[in-house]
Amino acid sequence: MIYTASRYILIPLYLVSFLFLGTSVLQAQEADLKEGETIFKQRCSSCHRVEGTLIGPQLLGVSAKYASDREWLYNWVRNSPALIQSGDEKAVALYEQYNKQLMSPHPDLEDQQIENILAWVEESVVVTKQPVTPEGGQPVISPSIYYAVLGLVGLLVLISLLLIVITAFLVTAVQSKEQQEEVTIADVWARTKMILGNKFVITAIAAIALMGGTVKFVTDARAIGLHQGYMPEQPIKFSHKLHAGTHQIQCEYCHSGVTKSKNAWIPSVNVCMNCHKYIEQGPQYGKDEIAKVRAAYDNNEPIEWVRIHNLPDHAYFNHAQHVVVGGQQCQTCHGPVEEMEVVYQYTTLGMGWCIECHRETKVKDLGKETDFTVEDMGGLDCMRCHY
Amino acid sequence: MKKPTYWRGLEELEQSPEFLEQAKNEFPTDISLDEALSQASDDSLDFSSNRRDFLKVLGFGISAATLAACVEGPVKKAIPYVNKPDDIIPGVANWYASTTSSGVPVLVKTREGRPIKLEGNPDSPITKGGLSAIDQASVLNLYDDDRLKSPMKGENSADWETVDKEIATKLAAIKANGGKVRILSGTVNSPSTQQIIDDFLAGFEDGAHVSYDPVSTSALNKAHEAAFGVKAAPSYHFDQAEVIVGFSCDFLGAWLSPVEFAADYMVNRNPDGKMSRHYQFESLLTNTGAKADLRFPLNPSQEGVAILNLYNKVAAKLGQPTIPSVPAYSVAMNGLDKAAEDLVAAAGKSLVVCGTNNVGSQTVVAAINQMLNNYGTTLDINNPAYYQKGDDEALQSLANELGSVDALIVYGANPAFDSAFGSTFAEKIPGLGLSVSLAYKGDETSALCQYTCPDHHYLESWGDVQQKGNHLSLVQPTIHPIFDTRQAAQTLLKWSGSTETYHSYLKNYWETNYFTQGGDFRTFWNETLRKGIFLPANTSGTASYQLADENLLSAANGMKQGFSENPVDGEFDLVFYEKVSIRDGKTSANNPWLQEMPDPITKAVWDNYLTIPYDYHKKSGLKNNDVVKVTFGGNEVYMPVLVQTGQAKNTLAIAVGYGSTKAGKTARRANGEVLGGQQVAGTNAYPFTTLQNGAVSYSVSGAKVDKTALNYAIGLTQTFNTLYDPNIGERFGADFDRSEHIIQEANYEDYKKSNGHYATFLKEKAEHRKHLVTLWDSHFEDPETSRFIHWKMAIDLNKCTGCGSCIVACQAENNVPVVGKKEILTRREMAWIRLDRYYSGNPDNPDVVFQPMMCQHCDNAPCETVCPVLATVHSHEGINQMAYNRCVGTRYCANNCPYKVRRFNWFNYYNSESKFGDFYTHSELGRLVMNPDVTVRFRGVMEKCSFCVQRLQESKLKAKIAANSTYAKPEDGKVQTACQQSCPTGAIVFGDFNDPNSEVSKLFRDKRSYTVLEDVKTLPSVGYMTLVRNRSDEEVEFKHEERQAARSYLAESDTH
Repeated sequence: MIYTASRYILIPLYLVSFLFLGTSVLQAQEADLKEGETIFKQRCSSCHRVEGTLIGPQLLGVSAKYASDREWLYNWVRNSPALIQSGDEKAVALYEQYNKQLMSPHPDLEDQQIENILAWVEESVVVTKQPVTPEGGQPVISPSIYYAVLGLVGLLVLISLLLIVITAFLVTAVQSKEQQEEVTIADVWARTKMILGNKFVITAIAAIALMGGTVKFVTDARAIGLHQGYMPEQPIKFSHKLHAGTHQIQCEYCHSGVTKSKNAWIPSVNVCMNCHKYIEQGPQYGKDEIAKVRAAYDNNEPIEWVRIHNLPDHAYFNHAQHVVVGGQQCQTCHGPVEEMEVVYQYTTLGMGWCIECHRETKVKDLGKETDFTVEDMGGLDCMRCHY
Repeated sequence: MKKPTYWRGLEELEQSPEFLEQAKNEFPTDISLDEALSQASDDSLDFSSNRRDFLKVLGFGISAATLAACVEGPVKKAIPYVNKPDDIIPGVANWYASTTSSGVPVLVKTREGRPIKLEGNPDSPITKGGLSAIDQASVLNLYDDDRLKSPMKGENSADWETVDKEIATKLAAIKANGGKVRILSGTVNSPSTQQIIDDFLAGFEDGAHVSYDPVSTSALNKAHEAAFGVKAAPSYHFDQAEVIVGFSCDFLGAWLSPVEFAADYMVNRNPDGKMSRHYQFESLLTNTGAKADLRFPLNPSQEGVAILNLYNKVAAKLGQPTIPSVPAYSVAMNGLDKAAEDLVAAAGKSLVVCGTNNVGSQTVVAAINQMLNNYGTTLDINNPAYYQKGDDEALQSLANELGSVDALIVYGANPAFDSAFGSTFAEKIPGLGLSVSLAYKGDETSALCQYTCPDHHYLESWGDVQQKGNHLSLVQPTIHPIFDTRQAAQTLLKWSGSTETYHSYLKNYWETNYFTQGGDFRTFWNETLRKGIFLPANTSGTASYQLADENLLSAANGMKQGFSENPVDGEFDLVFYEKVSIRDGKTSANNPWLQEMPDPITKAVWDNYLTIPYDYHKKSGLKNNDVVKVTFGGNEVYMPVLVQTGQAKNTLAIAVGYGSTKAGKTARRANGEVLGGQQVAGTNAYPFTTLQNGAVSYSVSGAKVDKTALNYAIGLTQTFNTLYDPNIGERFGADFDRSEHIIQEANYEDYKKSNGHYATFLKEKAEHRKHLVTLWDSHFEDPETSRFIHWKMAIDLNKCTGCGSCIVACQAENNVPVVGKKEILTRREMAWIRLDRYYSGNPDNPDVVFQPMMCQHCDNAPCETVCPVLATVHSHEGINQMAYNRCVGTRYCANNCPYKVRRFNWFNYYNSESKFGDFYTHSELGRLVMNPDVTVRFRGVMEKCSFCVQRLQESKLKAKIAANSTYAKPEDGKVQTACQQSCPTGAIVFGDFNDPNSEVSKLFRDKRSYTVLEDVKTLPSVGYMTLVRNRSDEEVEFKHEERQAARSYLAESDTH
């Protein structure tokens, strides 16, 4: 009796609390979501993904799963080792399920912050499912295409030469027939030379060569110092496709300078070790490559990466300016890194390319686009980048 | 042609043909590149070329360009940390509070773990954010190649273990025998280090600590010991003073704590607020004399009697007993009577200061201040200042007993070089049982010592400093020790037998002595470390005046010695003085920034020289660069002559701090040269000082001067980049004086009137301005609606003391190269900001105006219109931009600049090796000091002041990130250029002119505001504030007559 009675009382209570929970999620301010995102990127994303298991379970659905067990969830997040130690059944089961990997405690997180993370996780599914479209990105012209074009041109030249020789042979043959003489190679050669010696042909060939040369010279000269497509070999076969693509680790998790400094920086080894303390083996290169990271950490020897994106010394570029104030996506300049097995320089990083973007891009005020382009705000001044 | 009212050098005043020729040419034509380079030893840069060379270069150039186009760029590495320290964000500077070795609280800017710039600690009442040139430059000493790199045993490097063991053994033996142990140091103002020294010495039966200062103020301390029982200098409060009388005391330039004094002094120098009155009696022209309202040149041997006369005049007015039998002495305009009258009228709010190291003078000056009731207001002996604690007599007794000393430890001092007893130390140190130097850099004394145990640079050290009774600050390391050095305090601690680290000793010391408020010590310590300073409560009313009358009388008797009202012709008083840029030479002699900073008054670089008064120049015909033989008391010195207007008649002067052969390669470059078998210039002046009446005297009398046939070029920059144009008279009429469009000044009495000369002048100017038109309307947006910032700078000529701190700050911030004296002599200095020093009036006692001059960022910039490649164009924020990579080096811009502020890179000053001197820029270590946010300029490009655009961009970005908006602008006052930040007096104000509430836009609307060469209609973004001197109309009239007299005197001498 008591049981059923309590059920009748509790059900509406549950409903109401669910409603509250629901509305609170709905009403969650943008700022709360933003905070959730920040915390997720800073603390969770090394072990958890929104969807799919990484080291720990996926976070999508966690909110619903523990809807009635919030306190337990908070305790788990704040100090899971203690919970496991205390012999809590659910905790131990979870621990066993995920290869006995302890989740590092986050004692400073408040309830609301944990809610913010969960709220963001649910929200983000909509966002992350959208394909990332690089703004202003251009297809890479790989050197092989260039040589193919060159080969094609060469082939065309050969064919036209052959055609000229054939024409000369035919003309000679017709003439020989008329004059009833033997066709000699000397005659064919003389005829070929005659055709080639035609002033019009010479002028045409010279003009084409000159034009082609000039175009080639100008484009090459303009590309001096630009290294679009530069794809050096790195000391460790680090796959951005795996980390940023498959596992969807946020760029800022490793390149955390991007919001604070002019340098986005390559992460220090201790950042790699946040995950690779636990992950010894990768799907592609096995243990060898990860072993290099661990060796660097153990021997206190930095990894000497090859720098891909090089700006000349007289150009000043600030990542924080573009990412935080300008709200630019990493992909705008760096291309679809999450699809790159080996990273290469996607854009030219030349001054013309910078200027072009400054002319078109609208600046932001409180996160919203305004009517003014960067140029209107003085973004083409020399001393924005050169001092 | 009319002579200019304001002139920067005698050449300009006397219109010498060489000067007129030089003024015509923007760039020196007399020294060709070929010549300059063929003089150099290295032939690889020899530019003397012929047609074949040209073709070779052409051919190489084309093929090189072709190859460069094909070859991939070099592979660059990106090497991250293994474990990134949490507080380091690569690309963002970290700031730490610390204290310089001279005891000035600073903030240290570090980038990726290396200190690159210093700024005064704004929380400290001593600096208020400002910093002197010499302290600014001290960061460069950290990266000095000449530093000691490991402990030394004799001339060989050793390791710490060996050295420690051997010294410990020797010390133990001395201890067992009850031997004499002496520690000789400079001023030790670290309480914890002092404790360590005392504890160390307490372990010996006969241990004593002696400290001295190369340029001593021990008389000041001694006089206060006699008068108040406190052996220290009082704290000075110039901000409380309404009347200031100075006797040979350069408190704005080189005396005790000039940054503090300058800031305080300027509090009462506001013509629209409180305007103090400043009399200066001095033998040499100093920065302080230059700022004084009335300045009276006075011979050193007359100074004592002048002070006594002032005492008597003040005493008479206050109805107190006077000092009997004082010879009468008077100066122009009855200056002493006026001073006495003003002092008495402002009793309790006045201040008499004396910079002479003479116990008698200091005692009488203290007595005058006591009589005027100034102790407690403008002077505070209860919270004394410990800037200089040296004791000259103690040094003398140590020198006398040196033969019997068993162990001498020298710490932070170089007695063999910079003391009056140098020869005694040099002679006796090698014979001592144990001699140890704790110097951080090799010097004359450490070369004589058995062991040298190098100290850290202060930026690598822990420590504390007590500047005043109520002001302490902490020192914290900002970089890991670069070499195998050890902090001196740690060394002594170790030799005392302790195993404690100095860091923990320091913390314990502070916990015991300064941690009184209760609570958690860690919190207190961390907070103090963060702030850098600790201000204990003031102590009040313990010291009382106790000077007996007979002591005053005996002090007075000593001051009359050697006085004669009219000095004998041809007999001179020779003064040894500190230059503002080099001071005592201890840390500055090997610092190229300081060596190349023009002296604020003489405007000479890289040398010491003999300054002679103007009247002697007229009488004897001696000119600049003539070498003379100076004979005095059995010594003779060969020195080049520099004619110094304003120097007292019958006075000569030589700067100390030069002549060190062991201080390093930069110091050696400033040591003159041997000409005709004689060492000319670069003479060490310390050995010529003598102990007199218990204090070292820095002047000798009876010096004689003989001309020689030799000639020595002094790097004199005073008329470089002159704004003066001798041809302009032809265009604007014979009466046109361009110098009056450069400097504007007024006198206070007239300034206050609504119908005076100044008011009339302002009206005329306003009328004149209406007729100025511009073709470039697009450069001027309506400030009300503009979304842009318009950066402008206002410089108050009233507040500028000419100390040169801005020059070094700019050099440190903007990677301005050092070029060396040879390049200076060809007028190729590179400083972006120069301090023009203008004289006017009577050359025997001229008025002086300092004018910082940098790129004026004109809105109608003449340089922009002539650049053929648009390398210099205007920005939306009013900055005249310079794109180095676009510059092809036509130099048209510099030719067209009326302010002469553009600098051309004739060479690669940053890596051209021995061509111009082996400076810090030529070593890996030295280059660590460079600012990574500023491009290092290459040969063949023009450069100039950028308004510190990197600092502006940084502040703008911070504001934008904070507000999450591209429209956000930094708060007024948050953006500071390097020169502004460093200025001790706040003479430079910078900000957004488009913001009507910003400080700078208010100053631009002030009636004192004007721009230089306004008639050229360049519309500069740098404005100046008229100089106002606190003179009565009557005094102005007197000065005017003096000027007229000088004119005829000049004209007379011109014809002979």
